[in-house]
Amino acid sequence: MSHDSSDIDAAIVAKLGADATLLSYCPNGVYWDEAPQGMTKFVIVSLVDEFDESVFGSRAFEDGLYQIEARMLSTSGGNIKAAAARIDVLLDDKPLTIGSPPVQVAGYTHMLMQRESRIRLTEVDEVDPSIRWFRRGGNYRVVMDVNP
Amino acid sequence: MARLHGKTGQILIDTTPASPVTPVALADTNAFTLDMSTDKVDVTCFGDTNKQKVVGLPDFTGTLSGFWNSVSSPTFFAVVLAQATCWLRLLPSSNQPTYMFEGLAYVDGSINCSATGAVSFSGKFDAAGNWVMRP
Repeated sequence: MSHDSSDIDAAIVAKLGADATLLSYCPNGVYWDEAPQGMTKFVIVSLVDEFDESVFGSRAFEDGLYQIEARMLSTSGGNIKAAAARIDVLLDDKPLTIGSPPVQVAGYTHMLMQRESRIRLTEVDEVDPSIRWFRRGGNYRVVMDVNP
Repeated sequence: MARLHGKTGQILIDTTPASPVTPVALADTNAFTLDMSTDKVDVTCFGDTNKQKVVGLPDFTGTLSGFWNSVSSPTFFAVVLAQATCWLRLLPSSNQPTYMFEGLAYVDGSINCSATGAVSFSGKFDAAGNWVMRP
């Protein structure tokens, strides 16, 4: 069976982006690496590290560490605490499935998705140092078995 | 012939060895070792200017490892628990399937399960018959 590692990335974005509760906290949406200019309440998903484990003749599984965090402009009035908590509810120790009814990422079988560490930062805006960005979420390890 | 990478190695096993053997690939394995060390017996005598030894027979013993697979791994552990012999065929590369080491073996096994990693297994084996290198 064919498999595409980018489908794992897309599935994480899709899973978060499909949750109405999370979107109520982060109405600008869920983005890979960077959000469009002007957004003030959104979620960013990035790949921090990844390695492929091999067995004889094939790849056994893919082990990725994703940085997933809600980002909010300090003046946006958002509830970043609730947003980060919702991300954790959706991802920690949950299967990485997409759609309804839930289906596996094509070419893979879920092994693990769990938070490894928390993220909570306040970042000074590069353009306007008078404003702040709140960042809260975590580093999530996602391990997917490659179907033969 | 070119040097080889181990990524296409293969472990095959026949859990009920009979002639002819029909070993099948053991799934989700990622390493094996085979030690063919020979016994060395010291025969140093008075007057020799250095130690001298004669060799005995080669040992055929080794290890194997992989990731637990609920479909295939129980087959391996059934042999372990039965303390029965099996036929092992070890290929340095499945791209050169005529080059191999094989023979009858006793196998031991262990499982490693950690909350922070994949479930893996490992095993040790000792010759239970005459092993050969082919071709």
